[in-house]
Amino acid sequence: MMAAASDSLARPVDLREPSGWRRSKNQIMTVLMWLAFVIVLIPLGFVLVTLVAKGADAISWQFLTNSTIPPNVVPLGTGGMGAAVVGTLEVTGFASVLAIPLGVLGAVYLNEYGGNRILAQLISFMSNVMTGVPSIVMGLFIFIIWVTHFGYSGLAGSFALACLMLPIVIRSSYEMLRLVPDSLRQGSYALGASKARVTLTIVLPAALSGIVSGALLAVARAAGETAPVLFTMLTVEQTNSNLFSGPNTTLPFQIFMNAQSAYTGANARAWGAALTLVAITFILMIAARIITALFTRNTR
Amino acid sequence: MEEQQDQLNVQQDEEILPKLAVPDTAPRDKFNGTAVFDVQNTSIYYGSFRAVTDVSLTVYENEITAFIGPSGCGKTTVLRSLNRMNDLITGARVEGDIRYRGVPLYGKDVSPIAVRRRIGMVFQKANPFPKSVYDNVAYGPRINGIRNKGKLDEIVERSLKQAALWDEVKDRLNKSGLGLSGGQAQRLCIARTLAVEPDVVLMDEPCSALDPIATGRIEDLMHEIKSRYTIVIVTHNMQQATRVSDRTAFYSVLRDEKSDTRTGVLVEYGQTAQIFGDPQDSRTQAYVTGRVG
Amino acid sequence: MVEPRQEFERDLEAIEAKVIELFAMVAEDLPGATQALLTGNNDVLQALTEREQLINALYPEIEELVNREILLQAPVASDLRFLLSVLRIVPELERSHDLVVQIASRANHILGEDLSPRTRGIVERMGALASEMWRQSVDSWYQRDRSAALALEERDDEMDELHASLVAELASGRMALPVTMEMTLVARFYERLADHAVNIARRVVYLAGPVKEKPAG
Repeated sequence: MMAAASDSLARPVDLREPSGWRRSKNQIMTVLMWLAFVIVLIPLGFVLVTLVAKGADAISWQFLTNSTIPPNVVPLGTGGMGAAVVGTLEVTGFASVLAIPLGVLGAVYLNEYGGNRILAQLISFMSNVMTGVPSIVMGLFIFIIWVTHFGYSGLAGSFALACLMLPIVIRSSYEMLRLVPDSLRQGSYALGASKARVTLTIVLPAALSGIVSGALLAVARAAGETAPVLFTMLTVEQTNSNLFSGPNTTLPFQIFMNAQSAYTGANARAWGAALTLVAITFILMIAARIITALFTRNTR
Repeated sequence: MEEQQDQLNVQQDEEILPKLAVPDTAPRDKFNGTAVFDVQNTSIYYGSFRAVTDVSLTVYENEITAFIGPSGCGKTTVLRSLNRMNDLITGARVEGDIRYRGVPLYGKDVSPIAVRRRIGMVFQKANPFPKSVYDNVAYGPRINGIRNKGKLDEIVERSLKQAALWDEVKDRLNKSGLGLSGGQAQRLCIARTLAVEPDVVLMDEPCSALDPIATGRIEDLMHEIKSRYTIVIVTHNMQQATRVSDRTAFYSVLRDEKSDTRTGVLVEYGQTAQIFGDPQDSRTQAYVTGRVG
Repeated sequence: MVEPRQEFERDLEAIEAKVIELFAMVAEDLPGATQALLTGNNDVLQALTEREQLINALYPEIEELVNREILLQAPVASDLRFLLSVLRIVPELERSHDLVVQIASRANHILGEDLSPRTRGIVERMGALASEMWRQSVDSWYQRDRSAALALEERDDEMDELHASLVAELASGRMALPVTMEMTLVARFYERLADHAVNIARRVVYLAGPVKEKPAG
């Protein structure tokens, strides 16, 4: 819409949506975007719906707590996954205790203290490499160095899972720490805080919700791993609440074992275990979010 | 009885202000007063780049000293060297002599942390911590070891009153410091700095992001606290320098044509009325009259 | 790269030009006024009165311009000294021109022959001296020459001596009373003109500012 030079003052004001091809391009992209969103939702929704539909029948108090895992032929109703629930909670819990503090501290070192030193560059490189290592390799690694000397145990499983979690925690914590604006650190230094105090009282609290998110992702990943469990814990049919001695079992492993079987009882138990695993992860996430929100309520 | 009372008060103050464990050997000048900072032939480097060359000046007690000059002339670098904030930058090094009340600031046994507890800093962009208003102001005293809630309450209230912010936040002390307006946030940062009762307050363009009314409040604040503190302020606003400062130091950029390097130098330093009224150096004249950017 | 504060510079130059104009009017009209007095020529008065109108318009105009610059430009250092100096000397210039007109208007009241030779001689010298001092004063302003004040103060002493001589001559009673009374006034006018010239030179000392040190490095 070219205005005549002499009429520039008289040009009418047009504030409507850009017309023509720009408008349709806008509309097309909006539609595509919604389409993509729906496509992504479908498998997620499908999984959840299937889980609930197939697994709900199996869930009962007995299922969750009974300490004997029945053989595959036994139909639903007898025994339960209590052993696996306990095993998952214990093994994943201990792996978190190992990996999360170590990972966060490692990230703190990388971001606050390391700078361009060789050690820092090495740690950073190695943790990047480790995120790509297949979980079965981790299991094998722990098998070789620990299980062959000390036997199968939940502890070995924790070690394997911790190795898996560590690079994830380091990477995500590092990113979160980097996001903390340097102006906050400067403000703290200017008040006469030492580096350690700056990190503990300003940087970590500021990055807390992000670090928790990263840690949760790592925990969820670890809780769902099957391969490392294979090499380090074997399996049991009775609850073994001792983490440090004797084989143990976890929910993902039980899913693996029961789902392969032809018996309906076993399959039902597999679905139940799957639903239980997802529920545990879900509850964990919600709990962590609530706790984080409580801790950071004064900081928004 | 009175003496006993005084003793108690002194004790209280000492708890709040951990002493830099050196004697006060500040030179006192009959005409000018006590010298708080004595900078002699100081050059500051970032790696191999010489940011500031051969600066010498003296900052006097209970005065407001302004650093003015074009961008890149090193005034912020000099300011930050006064409380060893440059130590945080890798490769930064100070050559020359900077004395704080007679004590070499970069001496071997001097702890930068103790330095910063006596020489505080307010930054260009307000940087309140993501904590409550109360926790922001109480942060400094807490890291100095004060745990008693009653005492902290008193310190927080006193500091916020000194910063002319108390009335606006007294009902929202537990709300986040991030929810304040720009001017309020900057006053919060000032309150935070005053809470540790420093000796000197350094300000790096504290009002550059603020509207005129907020700026005016902070300038009034500076006048009020002048009697208890020594203030050094870097500012781009020359009217601000004339309004608040007693002395002004004008820095400029010195270009070396042969090696194509630039460095900051101190061109002229004196009473503000003289720097702006009768500048001695033609470069000062050109800058303050706006003929040179 | 645009020079900063171009408009401000232009405004300052405009003010300077007008001040020089005022200066010029006084400096030019003074010899003519002296001449008119000594020869009893009334025509000069006409031109001078017209100039007076011009000045009465120019002087508030200059003041207005200066007020505006001070208000809007927040001047400091040499700019401020310049503007304040202009405000101070413009009234002196205006009053000086009044004096010049007064001197010329005396020509109405006395005829050239009424003056004794001695009186005539002294008045001539006073007129010349005053013109000389005014020329020096204009130059000192134009060149921002702070040393002129001292020189002008010395010449002012000279003027005071001439004034004293003229008063003595008048007291001797050689001329008619009305003439004597007129000439007393004239004596005072020249003496005041000299004073104004000195005052302006003194303002120039403030205007020129401090003695500059050589820039370091």
